Amino acid sequence: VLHIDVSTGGDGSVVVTLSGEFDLVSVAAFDDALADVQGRRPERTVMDVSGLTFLDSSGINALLRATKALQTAGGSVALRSPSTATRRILEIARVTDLVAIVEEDNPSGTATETRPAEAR
Amino acid sequence: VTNGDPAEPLRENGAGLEAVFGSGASSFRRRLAAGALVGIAVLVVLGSFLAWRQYEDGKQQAVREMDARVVLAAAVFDTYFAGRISTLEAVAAAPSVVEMNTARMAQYMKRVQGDPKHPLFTQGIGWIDLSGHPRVTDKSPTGTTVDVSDRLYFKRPIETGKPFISGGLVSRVAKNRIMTISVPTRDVNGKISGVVSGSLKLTPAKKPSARSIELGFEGVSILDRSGQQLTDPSFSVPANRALLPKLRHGDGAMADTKGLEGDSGRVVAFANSKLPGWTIVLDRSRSEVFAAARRSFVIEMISIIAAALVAAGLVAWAISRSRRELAAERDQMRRWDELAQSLGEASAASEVSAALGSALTTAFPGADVIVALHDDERGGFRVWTYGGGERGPLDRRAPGVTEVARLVFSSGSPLRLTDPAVLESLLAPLAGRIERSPGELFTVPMRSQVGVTIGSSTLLLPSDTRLGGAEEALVVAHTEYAARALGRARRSEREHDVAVALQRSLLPAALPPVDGIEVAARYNAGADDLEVGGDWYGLIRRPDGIVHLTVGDVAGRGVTAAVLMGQLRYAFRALAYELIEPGEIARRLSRLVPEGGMATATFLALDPYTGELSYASAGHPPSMLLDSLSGEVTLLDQGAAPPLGWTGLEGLEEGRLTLHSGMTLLAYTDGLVERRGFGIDEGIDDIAELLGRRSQLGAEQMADEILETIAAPVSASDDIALLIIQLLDVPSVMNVEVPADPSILRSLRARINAWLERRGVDELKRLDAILAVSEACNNAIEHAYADGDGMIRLTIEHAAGALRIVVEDAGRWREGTPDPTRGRGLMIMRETMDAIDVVSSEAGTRVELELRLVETPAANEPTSTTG
Repeated sequence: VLHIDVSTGGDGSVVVTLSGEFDLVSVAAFDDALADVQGRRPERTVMDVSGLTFLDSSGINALLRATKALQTAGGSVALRSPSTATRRILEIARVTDLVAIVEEDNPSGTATETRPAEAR
Repeated sequence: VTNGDPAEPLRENGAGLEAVFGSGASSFRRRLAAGALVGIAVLVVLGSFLAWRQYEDGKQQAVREMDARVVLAAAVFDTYFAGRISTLEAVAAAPSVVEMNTARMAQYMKRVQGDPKHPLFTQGIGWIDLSGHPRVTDKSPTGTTVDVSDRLYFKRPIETGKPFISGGLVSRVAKNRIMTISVPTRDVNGKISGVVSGSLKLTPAKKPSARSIELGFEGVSILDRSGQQLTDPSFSVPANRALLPKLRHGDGAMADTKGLEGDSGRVVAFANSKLPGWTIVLDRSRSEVFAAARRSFVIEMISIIAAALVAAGLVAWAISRSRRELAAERDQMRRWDELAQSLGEASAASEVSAALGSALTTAFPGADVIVALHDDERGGFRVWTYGGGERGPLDRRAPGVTEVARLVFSSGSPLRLTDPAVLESLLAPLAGRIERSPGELFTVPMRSQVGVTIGSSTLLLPSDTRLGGAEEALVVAHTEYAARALGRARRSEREHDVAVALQRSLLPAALPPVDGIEVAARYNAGADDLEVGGDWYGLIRRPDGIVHLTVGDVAGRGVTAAVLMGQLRYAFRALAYELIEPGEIARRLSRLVPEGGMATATFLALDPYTGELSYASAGHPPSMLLDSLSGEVTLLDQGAAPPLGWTGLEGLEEGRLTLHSGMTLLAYTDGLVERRGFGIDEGIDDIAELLGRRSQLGAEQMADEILETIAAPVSASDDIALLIIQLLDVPSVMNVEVPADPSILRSLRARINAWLERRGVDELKRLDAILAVSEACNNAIEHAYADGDGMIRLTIEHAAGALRIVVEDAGRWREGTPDPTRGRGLMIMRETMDAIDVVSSEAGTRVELELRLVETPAANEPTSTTG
């Protein structure tokens, strides 16, 4: 079960905290939550994935769909603090090429901007 | 389950009849008693009247008799005085008297007096001259100087020339009480010359003489003309002077009047004696006179009363005897009633036999009763023995018993043996077990409705006993009654067989094998004569690998219980495929139990891959969990709810725990732990102790051990069902089929993880495997079954240092969907697995994956997808 928590960060960014298992069955709930976030047209969206215990391709696809939508609207997106296992899956699925990965103590991030065309 | 009680209305009817019959008999008895008492009273009154009449007659008779006595006495006196007068006339005519020769006269008179000790005239004889002086007496020739000229006995004969008898006088010289008889004397010329007188002393007898008693004169009173009582020493005149004039006139008797002395209640009889002028009177009290009559009256009355008492006693005896007979009859009716009732309730041949045996033993205490019945199934006989008095029943297996019971089979009609020689030879095999010479052997065949001999009942009576005709009829009637009941019992036994067959058919013949567990099941039917119970057990392995287990017990017995048991068991099968949670299965089953039905059951869901167990109990004794390593037994007492068919199962929460290899589960019905005289807890303790002691046994051996050591000694009267599940090593292959539904993926991942963890696979490899399975399933769900339900088959084999995973679906790829092999999921699978092969066909898609757990030098090139 995926737990989704949406909050506002200190720098005005929207923080979406995801915890639990992000699989096929969680996609619908995630899409609903992110539709609200998109409605706010945030400049910057940080998806905190540190609490994810499972992530598969359906979750990744959902993450990428949301990222693309937010970027299209002019915002920036970063994934924050993935666990080792999550980071491995993100790497395997080449998500690291598309979305910036940031750590907790470095909120500004070092990753390059993703290219919208490559988000599927 | 009740199958109706045919004996019930019969008993009510019997009681009613008895009441009616009883009250009729008692009112009849009352009428009889009243009639008899009235009859006796009438006889007593009549008899008393007759006796009283006889008494009255007797009294009159007594009065007449007294009268006759008195008349006789008067005649005697007349005769006596006539004789004395004649004697004196003879003296007066003597020559010496005529010649007035005093000397010779004196000698003559002395001669007349005879024996001086007993003189004829006790006061003497004398001659008195005309001057009134006695000139000569028998004692003195010269006479006396006493002047008796004033005496009537002197004057009257001189005046009348006729004899005279005086009344009572007192003599002048001696002052004796006397009476005097006198006759005139004449000289030679015929002139009166004087008087010859003879005097008699009147000496009242001190007691009545024997003669007077003989003649009935005792107590007689004699009155002279002046009324003096000559029988009284003082010559007194009776006090009751008024009586005297009556007495003077003639003879007669007066009863119940005043007597001479004025006493009332007297009987007075009187007669006048003419010569002496006396009145003879018998004056006696009524009681004395009527004594004889009264005595006979009293005797008669006593006889009548005695006869009445005897008659009343006879009536009372007859009534009490009839009451006893009635009581005996009622007793007999009650026994019939009891026999009818127990026969009505009998549902097996042995119960019919017991009812007959009990009835005959009660009717003939001390007799041996042998009941033999043809055994339809096995052939031969079933023999039961009863009675035997204090010694107790014969051993039914003793040699000779069956032979005795068979005696009557060939004859087909009752047989009565009393000849000691015949009995002795016949009963020789039983010598030592029975008394040497029984009084009688009476044996009756038991015949079916079509007249076939199907059994016998035999009575062996003590030596001093013989059966009467009525008693023989009773034995015959009882036996016929039992024969009819036997027909019913046979039908009921067949029903039992049907129910047993039905139940057996409802229980699984064999349980399906399940990887990772060993299962043993037992069903032990209760005692022969009982109806079949509703115990069941069941095991379902769901396609997803979860194993549902149940053991239950429908309340009641017989076909009805077996049918409900079948319904519940089939419903369990259906629900087990649909539901995972045992508590939900219990709730749904509970709704299927019909009104009035009830069942207890325990439900367990075991995942053989993960070892996870959840369980619920609906009013059922707790299952037991044995840890074979420690020998410790745990009762699974969580998840308890009321029995199926009750309310209150809604809040049921399952008990949960995780098992490991080497653990054993035991589920059972209460027949295993319930035994007479002990609580269910003791039974559970016994089983737990046995499990702990024999924890190393396999499931099958353990099931046998439990039934042999626990159930057998209890002579299990109730059915027993039990199920034993042992967890073996963790299965090396996981083989499950799950619905193509995203919601099941999470639990599937968790199960795979737990299984692989138990298999000893490290965490990173577990994560990779789970991720790959997840991707394969995602593909199937998203692409193959996007428009409907379908199943996904997953097989993971852990062997030879590798995991081989196969995910199959039966769906078809939708037109226009992207090639899954190009997707991110496939990318992930390729990256995490050492080998991947995806085969799509009309039949579905099969994804094969391999993950090496031990690094091998060989390069792992992903294979290309074929289409």
